[in-house]
Amino acid sequence: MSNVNKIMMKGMNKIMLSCDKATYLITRNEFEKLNYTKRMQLSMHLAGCKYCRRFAEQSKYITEQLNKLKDTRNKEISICLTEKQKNNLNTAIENQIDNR
Amino acid sequence: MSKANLNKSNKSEDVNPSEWVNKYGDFLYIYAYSRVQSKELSEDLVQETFLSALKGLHSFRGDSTVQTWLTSILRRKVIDYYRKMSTKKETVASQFASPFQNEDANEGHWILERTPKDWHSETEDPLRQDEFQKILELCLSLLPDKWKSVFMLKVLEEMQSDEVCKEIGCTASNLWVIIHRAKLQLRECIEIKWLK
Repeated sequence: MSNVNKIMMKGMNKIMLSCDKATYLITRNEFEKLNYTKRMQLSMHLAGCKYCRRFAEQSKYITEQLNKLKDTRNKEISICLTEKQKNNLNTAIENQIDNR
Repeated sequence: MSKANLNKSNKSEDVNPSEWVNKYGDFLYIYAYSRVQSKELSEDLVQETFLSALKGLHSFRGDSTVQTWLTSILRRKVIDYYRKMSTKKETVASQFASPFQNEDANEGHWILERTPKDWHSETEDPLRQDEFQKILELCLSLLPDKWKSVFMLKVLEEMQSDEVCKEIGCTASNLWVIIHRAKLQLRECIEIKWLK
């Protein structure tokens, strides 16, 4: 490889992200705005990498589903206290009131 | 009378602790369960919440509703639970190996057999979404304790990074590496169990 090529390669490696770094930035980007250079690097990487594009899509989907999971109005979590659990809780509260 | 008015006029009655279990028990229980995914633990956390609330009853000023007040106490209990979990000595080290190559030329690129598969046919099927929630819960429970606590506090509780680090005792860059690894493991776990 000529010297010019070597220098070019070195430069490219600095600009081009690995998939490891790209997925790291995808996750981080969901929480905070990346700086300009990182945003550019990431969109360049995504333009050429099908797998990281998939990762980005799936990551977003997982976050959406996580938010659904913690939504207390979520009907899919059909759980509530049993009578026995309620009695236990009431007893604990009464005991503490009596002890005051 | 509208519901809002009713709540307002009954404020003093709301602070009657013998009513708490009936009025707020289920709400708090679901809140806890959605964050810790264990029924037993959720019951314990709700009980601790009620007991702490009783102790702190004098500090409740009625600026917020009783439900909001109780929820903020419970949230603190959830955070404490994850804080303790993160400082516990890991019994099993993380089994998760990076899905990226480490040979010189391809360093940091996906290992071919572990590249993300196409999820479209699954995510577009509403019937499979209930199943997704169950798999998500399962895969969360499989994360190493430390990763899980950082992930839950940051992603589910939406805490600021420095707040999470204060609880868990980690540096900011460490925090992002943990969330990154946790996300990779979670994604792959879901894919294996969901697409099988």
